[in-house]
Amino acid sequence: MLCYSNGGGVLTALCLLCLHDAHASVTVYAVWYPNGYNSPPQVAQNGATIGGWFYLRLRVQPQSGYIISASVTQSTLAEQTDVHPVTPTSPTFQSTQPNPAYGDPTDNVVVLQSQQNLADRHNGQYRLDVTVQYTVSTGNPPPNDRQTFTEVASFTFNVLNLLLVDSRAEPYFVWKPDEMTGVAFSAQLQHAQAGTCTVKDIPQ
Amino acid sequence: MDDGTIAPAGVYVYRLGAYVYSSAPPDRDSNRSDYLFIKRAVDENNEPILYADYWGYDDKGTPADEFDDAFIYFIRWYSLYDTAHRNASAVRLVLFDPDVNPVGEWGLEAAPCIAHAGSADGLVAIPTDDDGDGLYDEDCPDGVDNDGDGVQNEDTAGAMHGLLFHLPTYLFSKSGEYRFLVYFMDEHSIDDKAHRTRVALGLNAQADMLPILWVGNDEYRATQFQIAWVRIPLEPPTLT
Repeated sequence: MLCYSNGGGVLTALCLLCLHDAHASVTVYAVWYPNGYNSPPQVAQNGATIGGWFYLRLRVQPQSGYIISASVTQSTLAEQTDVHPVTPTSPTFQSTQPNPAYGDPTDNVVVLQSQQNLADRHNGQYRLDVTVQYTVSTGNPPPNDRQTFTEVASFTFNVLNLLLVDSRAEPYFVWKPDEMTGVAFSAQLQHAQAGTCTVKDIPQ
Repeated sequence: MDDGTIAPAGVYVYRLGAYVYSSAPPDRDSNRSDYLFIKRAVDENNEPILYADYWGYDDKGTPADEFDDAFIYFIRWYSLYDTAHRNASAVRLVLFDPDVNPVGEWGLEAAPCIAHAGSADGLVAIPTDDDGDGLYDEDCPDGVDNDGDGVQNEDTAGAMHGLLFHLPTYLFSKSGEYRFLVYFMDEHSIDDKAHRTRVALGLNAQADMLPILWVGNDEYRATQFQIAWVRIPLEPPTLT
């Protein structure tokens, strides 16, 4: 398939068709550990809620041709909020092995991933925008044997890391040993991950 | 308590902390501020101020008639310190009667600070340049002498305040010891994972202190928790 934009009407149409095909070839998903790091990871699709360490993965699978290489030329990860100014980050993606357990094909695919930990950032919704450049082998004789495409993809997900919500509205408690047998503390623990959490009560 | 004894009656502040050790890196959360801390103020001799200053009565110009007295005035000394050099967002005062029942709660944001010429700046938590080198907070929070001047944590005292506030006399209808709890809210919603402003824990656990002031009918004293108190005089002075 020739995709050079040389001004010819037919070739331009082919190019647009080719870009349209290529547009469906980058898939973004996340891999996280919903039951802790000693349990199998799971795939999280667009809109999912995750927590703890996770991987953002890009599956680059051309609709035609054979993929030679792929890389991220631009990436932006930003919290989606109007409450405060947002400082986006630029995750770095590296090539990794495709994993069929995550739905990756084993042939003609490049998988890029970036390890993330947002425990020190806000719980809330985040959006990843990436620009992926990939090169495919066209099967044509040189110099038309390769074609490079650029594709933009996005992925939205929610982060819920450990959150303690104290049931007591007052920042103190009253202790009357003559009238009380003890002081009860209760708190709601919120986390996308299931697991064991240690709670400490430190009276002062 | 740890030694098997029963804690004395009173008002206690506390911190709840949750920790997930199985994650990498571990995750944690707390119901108290990680940034804002209340410290005990010190006097001109660098001694901790363990008591509240009794300021006087508003006796409406009739010192012989106690029945029309309106307010009792106090000064509460403290220091605020914020590791990120942000001021507190709110300050609340809770009054407990001798039966340890809360009888009222008020905001003290507008209270004049006698340490700063009456300015309503009780929320300011900017540290002071204690060693006078023009630098602030140079060895905090790691406690290491990073600037090599041989002094550690030299500017961590925070900003000292003395808030003047008054309470209606009718609140002090019972005889016994009244407790004042003062607590502050931080201004770190942008830093908090859930956009919360959190309450600062009163005083650090190592010092084993409480930000509680007592009003009693006894002599000045400090309990094992170093709870300060102030005596209401039998002969109230006249404010001038």
